[in-house]
This record gives sequence, C-alpha cells and structure tokens, in this order.
Amino acid sequence: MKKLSRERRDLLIYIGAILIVSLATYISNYYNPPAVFWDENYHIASAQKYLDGVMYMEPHPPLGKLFIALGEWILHPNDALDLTHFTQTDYIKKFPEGYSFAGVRLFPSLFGALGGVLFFLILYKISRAVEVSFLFSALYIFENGMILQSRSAMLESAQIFFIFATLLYFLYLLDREKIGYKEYFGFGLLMGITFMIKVNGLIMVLLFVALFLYRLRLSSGYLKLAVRFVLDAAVVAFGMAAVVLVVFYIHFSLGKELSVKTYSASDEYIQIIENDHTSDISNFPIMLRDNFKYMRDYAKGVPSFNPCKAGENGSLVTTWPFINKTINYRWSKNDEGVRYLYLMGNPIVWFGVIFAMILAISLIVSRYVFALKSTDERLFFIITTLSAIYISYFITLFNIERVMYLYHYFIPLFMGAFILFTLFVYIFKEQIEQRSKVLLVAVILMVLLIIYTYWFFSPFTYYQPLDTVEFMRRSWFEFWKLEPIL
Amino acid sequence: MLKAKRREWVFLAIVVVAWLFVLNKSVDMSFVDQDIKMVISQNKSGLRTLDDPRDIVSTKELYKKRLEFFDGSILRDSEYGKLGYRSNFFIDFDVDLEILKSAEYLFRISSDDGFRLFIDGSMLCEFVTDRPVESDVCSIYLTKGTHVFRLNYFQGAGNLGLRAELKAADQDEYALVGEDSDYVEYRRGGGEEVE
Repeated sequence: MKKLSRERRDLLIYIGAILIVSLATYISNYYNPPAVFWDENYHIASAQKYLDGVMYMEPHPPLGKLFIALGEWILHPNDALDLTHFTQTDYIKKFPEGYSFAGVRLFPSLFGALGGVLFFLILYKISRAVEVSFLFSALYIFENGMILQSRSAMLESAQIFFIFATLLYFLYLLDREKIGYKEYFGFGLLMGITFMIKVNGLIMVLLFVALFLYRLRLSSGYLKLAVRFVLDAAVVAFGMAAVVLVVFYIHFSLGKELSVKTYSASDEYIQIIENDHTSDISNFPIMLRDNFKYMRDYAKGVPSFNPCKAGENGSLVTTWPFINKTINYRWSKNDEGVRYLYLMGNPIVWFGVIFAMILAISLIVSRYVFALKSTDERLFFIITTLSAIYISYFITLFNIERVMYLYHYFIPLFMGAFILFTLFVYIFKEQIEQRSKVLLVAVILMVLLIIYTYWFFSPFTYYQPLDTVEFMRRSWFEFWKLEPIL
Repeated sequence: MLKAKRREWVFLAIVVVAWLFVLNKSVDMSFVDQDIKMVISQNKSGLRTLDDPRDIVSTKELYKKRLEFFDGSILRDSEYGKLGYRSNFFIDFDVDLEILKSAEYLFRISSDDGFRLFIDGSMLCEFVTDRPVESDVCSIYLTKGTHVFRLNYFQGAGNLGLRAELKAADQDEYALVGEDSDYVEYRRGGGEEVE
C-alpha cells in the first residue's frame, strides 16, 4: 500500500477534526425545536409539492427546495401523517401534531456542517499552512448566525456550501499553469448551482473575471486575449446554463399535477400538465417562460424596507456588518424562562470582518494610490478579488428596493472572513513558517474567544431558556435590536 | 513599518483587549455585595396607577446594590445595564436598614411613574399615578436598630426612572438607598409581601 505523505496525512487528520466539530455545532439535534420558523412555512410547502408531484411556482430558483425535499424523501419521517394540505398552499399555517423536521432540515444542516470542511480547505489553499487554517476555521464553525440558519429548512447553507466550492475551485484554477475548457465548464457548473439556489449567488461570476485578469500576465496580444476571454466566458456560461436547464427540467418534471393554484401558468402550460407531458423537453420553453413570468411578477409585489413599521424585521444593507438588525425567528415561554431562536451572529467573527475590510481597503489603496509594493502578489490578488466581491455585493444590494434581511449578509461575511485570514497570512507569512510561539498563542487566544462568544450566544442558536437578565446581558449594543419577551 | 516581532505583539494585544471587552460584557458580577431585593412584575394590561389590578405575566427576582434606575425609555441601571422592561410593570423593593444613630431621617423618592414607601410596615409617603420624574420628600424618626424599608414602584407608558435616597436631618447630602454611611448600613431583608 502506498504511504501517504506527511502533508496529506496531516490534512486528512485536520479535515476529520473539522468535520467532527462542525457536525457537533451544525447537526446535533438539528430537528429541534419541532416547530416551524421564519421562511420554513414557505419552503416546506414547496418541498412537499415535489414529493407529491404538484406543480408550483416560486420566486427562488428550485434547487434549494429540491434539496429540502430530498431530505424528506430519504428519511420520510412523516409517512404516517396526512400532509395533503401542504400542497394546497404556499404558506403552511398549521403543522399536524407529531410532524418531524428531521427530513426537511437534513440537507441544510448537512451542507452547513460540510461547509466547515470546505472553509478549511479554502484557508489551506490560500496559505498552505495546515495548523493556522485549522484554527481560523473557527470563524465558520462557531458562527452562531450561520449555524441557526443552517439548522432550518431554508436555503442559505446550501448556497454558502456551493459558494465555498466555487471559491475553492477558483483557487485551484488560480495556481494552474493551463486551464482548459473542461475546467472552465466545471467552474460554470459550480456557479450555476450557486445561482440556482438563490439568485444573489450570481455575484460569484466575478471570480471568472478575476481569474482572467490574473492570467493576463501569462498571455500577450490584445486580440488573442479578447478572443480567449470570449471563448472562456462562453464555456462558463454554457456550464451555468446546463445547470439552469437541468434544475428547471427536474422542477417541471416533478410538477405533474395541478393543485388549487395555477400561479402564472398559461393555458398551454395547464394543457401540458393535464396531458402529463411535463417531462417532454419540447414543452420546456413554455414552462420556463411561465415560471420566469411568475418570478418577475412576484418580485414586483415584495414590500420595501420600512423602518417606521412596527416589528419590521428587515434592515438597511449598510448596517449588516454591525449585526443590525437581529431577528427573533421564534420564541416560547415556560417556567424555565423564554426560549428563543434569534438570528444573532458571533460578534467576534462579525466585528473581525469589519476590521479586516478596513485593513484590506487600506492595503489596496496603499498599493494603487500610494504605489507601495506588495510583499506577496498572489495573496494581494486574493485579497483584492474577495474585497471586490464584498463591495460589489453591497453595491448590487443598494440598488434593490425590496426588503432585505440580515442573513443576506452571509455571502460578504464569509468573503470578509477569508479576507481576514488572507491578511493574517500576508502580514505574518514569515512567522507562520518559523512557527512563532507568540503568534501561535495569539491565534489560540483568538480562537478561544470565538468559541467563548459562540457559547455565550448559543442559547439564541439552540433554543435554550434565558431569563430577562440573561437575555439583556447578551444585548451588548442597542443597534443589535435584541428585544426580550417579558 | 512595524517590525515583524512587534506586529505579533500588537496582534496579541488586540486579542487580549477583545477578551477583556467580552468578559466585561458577559460575566455576571451581580452576586457581589447586593442587599436590595427587587421583584419586577410585568403586567399584561396597561397601568395608570400603582393600585391598578395586578395581572402579572412574568416576574423576575433580582438583588441590587443601589436603588437607582436611570431616566430613559427602558429599565436600565449601573449594575445590570438594560433589563429589557419598558412599560406596564411593577417593582417591589425590600431591604433592612441598620440604623446606627437614632435621628430624624429624610427619604427622597424621585420617580417616573408612581411609588409607595413603607417603613416597618407603615406607609410613609406615596404618589400613585403616572408622572414625569419628580421628587417627594418625607421624614420619619428612626431609632437605632433594624428597620424594614419597602418601596413599591410602577411604570405605565413612556419614559421611566427611579431613585431612592436617604439622609439624616443633620446631614448635608443625600445618599442612595443601598450605600452604607456613618448613619445607616444595609442588610438583606425578609422580603415579605406588602399590599
């Protein structure tokens, strides 16, 4: 048997360790509370329609809901229950007694936990330093907001998982001498998957532009470059389109029956369903057209952010980095105190990202405005790319009128976490190689702090009881807008 | 540019400062030297006077060092920070006064909204309806020894605040109830209900 190299062996050990801790924070007891919260009412209704073969239309692309349905299909914990009414509505108001969330929350929780491994691999790919990559993975594994969002039948954890996969693949391509069409196609597939879970995943397309810019140094001649760009972009777009087509094909094929609603289905579409021809590829354009029409119309009806509205859960894009505003997803009260599922981030991680963004922008400005030399071109490029994604995401969202919520910040949050780590490697490259003890102590203390704050805020994440004083001790800043139930 | 070694120490210092901040925000020090028992009762229905019916949805028992809550829209003090309560609640305070010198004593209660003060079970003074922060002063002769201090307070809607102070008639300055002096020391009381 071939012996593993020491590097590979270490890597596998650390992956194993990450997986164990991620499973503990993201998966343990994931089906509790056995009660619905936030958008689960919508997503479970959609997932059940796939299982029962009922057509529906929805503003989100179908892939995230397909994963939710897949978990229910694999575990089928609710076979004994009559769930017919789930398929007759887009928002389930009443769940039958004994309904288990083990199926519908399975894949989101799994993606959340496995995201820890990808996070670690991204850090390792950036630094090639296994110990610090392992330690900095705490930024993801102990992020309370992401954990809560993952332990629900919602879409964010699946999307973040594939965003990490796309970024990891980008880093792999970045270090390659040659990139063929096969690789670009794979890149497009990953971007397509991200985009087909939630539309805001489209921001990852910027990675293709970054990759092209990075490889400019390997080519010469404007015409050759322009041709190359167009061809590569076409292959990436082809990969993305393949995912879009396949996912929508599955979505249409599963919708074999009409329920009480016809959504934006035209007479042609209704006819297709009645003739049981939804799997016929020739009908695909009609079904796609009607679905896109529904998405467009739905988007027009979403309300705008209204800070004057009592109980407004939405928040201003610019205030997200400061954890404004938290959302009380669910609460219940008994003699032990009040239990909350509160969307609240780990403040060390979130404030660390603000700190990283200030440093990153200063570094980029110092290079391009003050012409200071960079000490590591590759790391500088990664910092610039991730910062561009962070800023572009914000610019895009500024221009969206509909109400947005704190969890829409997860994409830039983790871009910021990668920037934080890359800056650390950029600043302390030599000391990492020399295994400096002072640095190691500082990093371990930082990780312990992340774990401590995770533990401190974990009652909000895991529905643990708090009395009012304990709750208010967690309200460090007014702008978090944490409100206890009295 | 900072030298590499110094940068490590700067990073370590940032982490240590962050630790201190987090510990300061998260560690409960309320067990230290606190004598005034208070029971906060959240009422279901709106309150206009101290004598409105008590229709309690939740209660919380805590101990305080000083009987003071800052003026503002939320119940907040220097010991617990914000307590989360904003409107329609009662607080019943209870502490034993160890009077060191027999004398005429003045109690000054500043409240928004109303209060009722009892010494040794007898009502000393009150203002039972809602109001902005205003003060009432009432006096009583207290002999050396233990006396029972009880204060009922309510908050209806809008801003709130409460401050209870005490001084002997020959003293210049009031001190907050809970702060030991040459005239009075404080002990945890029995906490019996007072109607």
